[in-house]
Amino acid sequence: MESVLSISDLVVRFRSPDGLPLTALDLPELTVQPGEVITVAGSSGSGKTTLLNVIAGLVELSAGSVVVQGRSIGAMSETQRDRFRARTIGYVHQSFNLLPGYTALENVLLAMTFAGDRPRREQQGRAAELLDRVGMGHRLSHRPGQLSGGELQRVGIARALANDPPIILADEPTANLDERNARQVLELLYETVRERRVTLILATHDPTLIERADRLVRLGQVWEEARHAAG
Amino acid sequence: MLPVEMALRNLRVRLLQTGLTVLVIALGVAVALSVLLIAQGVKEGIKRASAPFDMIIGAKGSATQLVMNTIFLQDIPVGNIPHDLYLFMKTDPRVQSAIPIGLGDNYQGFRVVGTTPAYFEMREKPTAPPYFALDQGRLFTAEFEVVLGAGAARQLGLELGDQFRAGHGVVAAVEEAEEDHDAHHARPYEVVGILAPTAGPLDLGIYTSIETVWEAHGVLEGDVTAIIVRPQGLGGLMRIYQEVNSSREAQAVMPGQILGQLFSLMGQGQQAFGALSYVVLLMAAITVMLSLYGTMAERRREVAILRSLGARRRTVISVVLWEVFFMGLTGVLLGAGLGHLSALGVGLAVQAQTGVASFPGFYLAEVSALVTVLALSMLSGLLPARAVYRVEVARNLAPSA
Repeated sequence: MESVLSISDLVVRFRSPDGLPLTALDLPELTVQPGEVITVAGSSGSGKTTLLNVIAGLVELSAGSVVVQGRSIGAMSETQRDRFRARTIGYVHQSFNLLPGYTALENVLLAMTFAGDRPRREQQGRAAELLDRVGMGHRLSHRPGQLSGGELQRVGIARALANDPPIILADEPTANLDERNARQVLELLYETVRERRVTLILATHDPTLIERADRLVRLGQVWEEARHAAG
Repeated sequence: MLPVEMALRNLRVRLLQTGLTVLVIALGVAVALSVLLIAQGVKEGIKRASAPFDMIIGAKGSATQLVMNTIFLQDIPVGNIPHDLYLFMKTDPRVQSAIPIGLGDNYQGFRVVGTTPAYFEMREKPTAPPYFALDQGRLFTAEFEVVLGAGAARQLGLELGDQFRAGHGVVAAVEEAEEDHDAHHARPYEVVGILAPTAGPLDLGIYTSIETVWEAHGVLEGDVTAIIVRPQGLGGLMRIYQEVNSSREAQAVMPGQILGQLFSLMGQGQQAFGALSYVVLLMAAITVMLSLYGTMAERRREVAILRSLGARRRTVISVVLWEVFFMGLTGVLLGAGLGHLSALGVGLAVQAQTGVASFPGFYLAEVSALVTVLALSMLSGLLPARAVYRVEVARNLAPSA
């Protein structure tokens, strides 16, 4: 089976505020199969979020290669990366990152706008359907300011699914939620990715999330990969 | 959702900020535009009012004063010129018409103008219809009969057949006003005609025969205040002009020349106001920029979110530019409306005071000024747009951003 993601010798370096080069991520190898659920763990600053941003084409690679669904991110132009991101990646953020001036429905619709895959008439129905699927059917016209943390993340999940992406990236999706909401959101996320056979790459500190994944990628000074018994 | 829709949404979400920015642009445009419109309207009103007057002969003194009291019925008369000069002009073969003007009395501040029926035959050019037209009644045929200008009739509330007594002087004295103008003239004037409006200062005149003015002042054939001369041709006009001006008893003025000087003076004032307007418009442009920069922190996050969803840089920039365009357009249109309204208000005040209708129309210069302001607004949006272009997506998506 062709891998959905293949990373080799990846290095990402930034400049620190005082101008010194700083290695944010160093990952020799990672291959992910379609439908896999991977958790990426590591201490703060180990590069979890950077890895997700590299896969999303939001951060430039300093070295190495990242191939997503057979396409090398480093070889894409910015416009190609924008389109790739809209169609291939669904991103669930720790701080939800919904646009405050837009309703739940419009936040999901926006994601479809940039992919440009569906006629406008269809988008509305699909956005409502997705929100209904994540239990937010009754909150379509509510703005982020009118929603609770759990509800915001549900909308975030619906938005990530808007364009049927083969990969969902989730960066600490439950970190800002209370325990009950965190559990519900997590159930929803797992249920949805299994149901749609989507690859989920989840950056987290949470041991319960790590346990439920197919595989763990631990980032840090020394990176290691551990396959769980379930795999 | 298109960038245009997103821009409109962003403006609605930041309603207070949008409203204030639009207001600043609108005020800038209104100030600049009203100066332009008022000056233009007054100029056109004055030009229109002076059109039937080729040349005015009056007493030596201020030429501007002579024009002001003959055409605009403002200012005090320079003095009188001998009746013989009027008779000479009337019979001069180079002169097509010589119309006497005798000023001296007023009724509630409205000037009584002594003249002849030929006054009502004046035209802007030989082929044009007469400048004046009767709306009601007839012209005066006997002494102490008057024809009222449309504005004078309206403001005084006089109708055909009404009678009144005038007072001495071209302006109403305080005691006359208090004593209801019974003044010194025992014989009352009777309204026999009312003129149609001309939208000019002569609408505020009360016209009677020149003989009535002489009679009111107890002379049989008195002096005249001015003579309105229409020559047979341009050559005659220039010769008469030189002859009269080289004499000791009178001056000849061409209203066009005097008004040209007046316009030049107005132009200087207009330039000063114009410079002020540019400052106001510049402030409006800076406000647009500050308004966009003021929202930059939250905007950076929004841009990062949009970019993470696959929006291109040019899409997020076009959202910003559309926002600027809509704010600029609304400000410009609102400002144009306010500018026209304030110019109309000033126009009404000027007309009530002087009779000169200076209602502004739409000018080509106005359109280009408005387009310039819009372009300036767009220009002021370029720096914030550049900042949006450079937003680092990954950094601004982070929870602490």
